[in-house]
Amino acid sequence: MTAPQELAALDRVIHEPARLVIMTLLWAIPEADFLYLQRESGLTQGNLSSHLARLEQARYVLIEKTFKGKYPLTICSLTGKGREAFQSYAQKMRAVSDVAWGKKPKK
Amino acid sequence: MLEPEPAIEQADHRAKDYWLRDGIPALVFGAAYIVLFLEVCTIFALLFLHPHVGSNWLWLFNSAFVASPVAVIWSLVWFGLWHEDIIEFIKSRITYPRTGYVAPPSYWKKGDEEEEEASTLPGAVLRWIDRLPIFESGLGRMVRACLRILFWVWVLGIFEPSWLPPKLRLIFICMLALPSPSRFRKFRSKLAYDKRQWIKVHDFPLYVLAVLVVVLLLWKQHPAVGMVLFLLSPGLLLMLGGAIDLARYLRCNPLPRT
Repeated sequence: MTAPQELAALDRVIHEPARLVIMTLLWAIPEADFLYLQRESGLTQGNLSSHLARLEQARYVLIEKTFKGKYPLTICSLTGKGREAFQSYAQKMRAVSDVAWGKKPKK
Repeated sequence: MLEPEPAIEQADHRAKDYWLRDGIPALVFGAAYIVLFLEVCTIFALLFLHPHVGSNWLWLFNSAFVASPVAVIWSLVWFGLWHEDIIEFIKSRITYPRTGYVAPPSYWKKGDEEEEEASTLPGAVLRWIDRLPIFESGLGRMVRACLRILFWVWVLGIFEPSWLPPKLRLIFICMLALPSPSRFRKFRSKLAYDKRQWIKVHDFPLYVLAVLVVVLLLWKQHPAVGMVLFLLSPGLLLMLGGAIDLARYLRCNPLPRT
């Protein structure tokens, strides 16, 4: 597949900037709550909520409502499918950037 | 050009820093050192008072004498097993409502704690004991656990190594006591992502300071006193550092209005 074709095959669910931020944050950690994601991503509550719903719909993110002591938490984590999708997205982006920088793409 | 790896790395580092930023782990670890200090003090006080006790109270005294090392071991085991839960319990009341929740270190992928443990002299000894083939069976694992406990009991100066000259004994005890029990190390190792962070999360400067304090103050005194001071100085410094961090965190992150 050529570099322009790689670009066309990118996962559109992840490719949206706000959702890319959420996926990046969740990729690095096993789980985090809504407030942490909101502070780290800089998104508004409504924005984050709608993007999380979209990722949950694609089964990339698992959302659980629970309690830690008396404090209610909305815990978000990446599913196996979400991890695979993000990995594949990152690989495609790497291939595109390698071509752009004149490097041989990594398989 | 988008480079996904540095962004992931930064997210990972920020999440790890997040677990230490509020000073609560430092406060809890500091408190544990002070509890150990008080328990070791009790043992030495009992040793000191032993000749002055009347025969009527000797049974009570002897019971306390037997109970105190057990209390040291019990608190080490208890704190070793539950420190993360204690920290999480406090965080759920202070940190989570202010800046949110991030999974505790036990949820993180296995770090390089084995290498970190082996990087200190007593850690290397324990790793070597662990790898002996005789410890692979169920009974062997129990023997290994007992050996580890005896090792730490000895480190705490309850069984003083009398075959060493006093000055060397003092330095040796300090060296052996440098790493905290393995569960503490696991907790911290998972939060360290580079050499600078490793030094920070293991409170290395505090240990160096504690050793210096002990060596300077007790060059010609009993090593038991040195051991007690060795536990007290990092305990106090950790609690002080933790309190400053917590005060700063609370000032910068007020409770959000609901």
